[in-house]
Amino acid sequence: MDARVLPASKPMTLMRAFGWMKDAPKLPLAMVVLVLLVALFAPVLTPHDPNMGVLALQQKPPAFMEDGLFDYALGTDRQGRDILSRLIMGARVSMAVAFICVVLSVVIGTVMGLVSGYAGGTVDSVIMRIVDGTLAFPSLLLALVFGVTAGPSFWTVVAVIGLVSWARYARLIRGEVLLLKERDFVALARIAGCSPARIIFVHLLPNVANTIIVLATLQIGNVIITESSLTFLGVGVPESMPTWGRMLDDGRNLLDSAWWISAMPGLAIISVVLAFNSLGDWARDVLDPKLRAL
Amino acid sequence: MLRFVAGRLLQALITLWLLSLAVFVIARVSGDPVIILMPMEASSQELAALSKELGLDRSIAHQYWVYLQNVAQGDFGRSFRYRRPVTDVVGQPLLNTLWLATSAIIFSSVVGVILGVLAATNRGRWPDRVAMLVSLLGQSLPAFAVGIIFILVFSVTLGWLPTSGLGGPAHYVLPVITLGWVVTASVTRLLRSSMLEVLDSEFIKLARAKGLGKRTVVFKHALRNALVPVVTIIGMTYGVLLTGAITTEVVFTWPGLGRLAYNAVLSRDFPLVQFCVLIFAALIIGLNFLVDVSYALLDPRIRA
Repeated sequence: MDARVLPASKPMTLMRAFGWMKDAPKLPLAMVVLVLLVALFAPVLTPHDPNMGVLALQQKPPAFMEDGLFDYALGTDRQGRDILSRLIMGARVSMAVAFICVVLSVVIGTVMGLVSGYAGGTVDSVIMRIVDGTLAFPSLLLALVFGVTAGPSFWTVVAVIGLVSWARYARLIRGEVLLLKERDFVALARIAGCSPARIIFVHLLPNVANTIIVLATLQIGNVIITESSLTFLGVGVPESMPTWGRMLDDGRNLLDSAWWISAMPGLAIISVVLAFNSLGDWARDVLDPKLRAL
Repeated sequence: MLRFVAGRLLQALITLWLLSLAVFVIARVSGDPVIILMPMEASSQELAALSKELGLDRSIAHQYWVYLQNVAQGDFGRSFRYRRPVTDVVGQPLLNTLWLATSAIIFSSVVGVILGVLAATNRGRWPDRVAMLVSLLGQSLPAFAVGIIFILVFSVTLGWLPTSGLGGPAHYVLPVITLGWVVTASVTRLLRSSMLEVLDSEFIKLARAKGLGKRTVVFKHALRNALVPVVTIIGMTYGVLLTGAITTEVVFTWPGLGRLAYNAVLSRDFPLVQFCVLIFAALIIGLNFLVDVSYALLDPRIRA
């Protein structure tokens, strides 16, 4: 029996994705590509050791200011560490957290949403109660509980953010599946003898791909903000890893004498999050105008 | 209708119970409060004695059973740090947080609606651009960074507003804007798109064709219809604001529930953390319940 039932819309192929990226807003796209490259090649790019300061060079201003040094283009912090190098290594940490969290929540949320929407009944009720509970959970507070009791660690941050943010995917995807499963192509697939797993992953999944892409792009900005908030509150990744949130906190009490210590990481956070959010906005308008309310 | 409300209420209570269980387990599995409570040089006998006194030497299942029995009698435990019942400790901070969050939600609803209407009625022109920029920034700036920048500019440099703490109306300005900006952003966006949709509909064209003034059309006909989805979002984000208050409260040393919870976590004050999280969760779940019910009242299709 070979009844191939085509999904309602074609899944995204690599070629289509490239052709499609052509119309993306240029500046945000350039920013995102830049920060990804920097994150990837961080150890090669840092001009100085990000964790070792030179005591003679404490709180040097950026090169464009009087008394600034060309060797330390963005200035140095309270311990004489090069801010540019720390920003570069920080990009690596932030991007790693963001990437792993997004993958984690996409996988959990998509599977839960698909299963919940397709199965219905008790399975649906149980999953939706878990989703409600997760959405009602003060995520920052959960992160604090974990961060302090389990100690600051990279994986604590990833686990907390990932485990809280899958619920939004699950809820939205379930809603879409509820509509999709009434469509003819699903009924045909069922008649053709497809197993529920095959219907879910081969026929339904490609149809919710757009929603996933939009949500994921918008989530990256959120993850960066949450991670830096946690580090700012002292429960983020450990001291040995430079992150933008910690750098911002380091300079908090020196705002009037050495503003660049906080301003540089602050600008980095803002521009990267802005870039991801603008890309997400654009992707939403192109792929899934229904999601405007997000 | 009554069945619908009862069903939702039951769901809300189950969700709340699951949450309380999760917090209970997480807080006990991931660390030992006794080490934090006692001085560094305390002997292991002293640690064990305190552990016993606080009931932490029993199994988690047993601790949970005792906890449930106490909760049933209205006893949510005593704060390790303040040595008072948690229900006493939480009262005033909760009020402070509610004040802050309520001011923020009012502020952001008003500003968001104004910006949303301006953006939709001037589509593509500068008021639209400004409104969209404000909302994009609101979604992209972390609250703690905004708070620090505000303190630097308006308190330290210009000296216009107080840096921290609780007091007169001036103390509210910076925390309210810091906390409410994100919500302003989503209200603006949502209202803009729902206004655009409504402005494009037949009945608006009819109203215009009848010769009604632009103002009447925009405010009486379009805005009223466009506000429906916005009201839901405002109800739901109120809960998000409450928990979002943690960073804002820490930055502005606002004596609210968020900061209390933050300090309780830092000192591993289990009963207090548990109770704070429970209150936060109860507020959010309660709000969602109210949103659901009011939605069902407005739209009979949902009751099924």
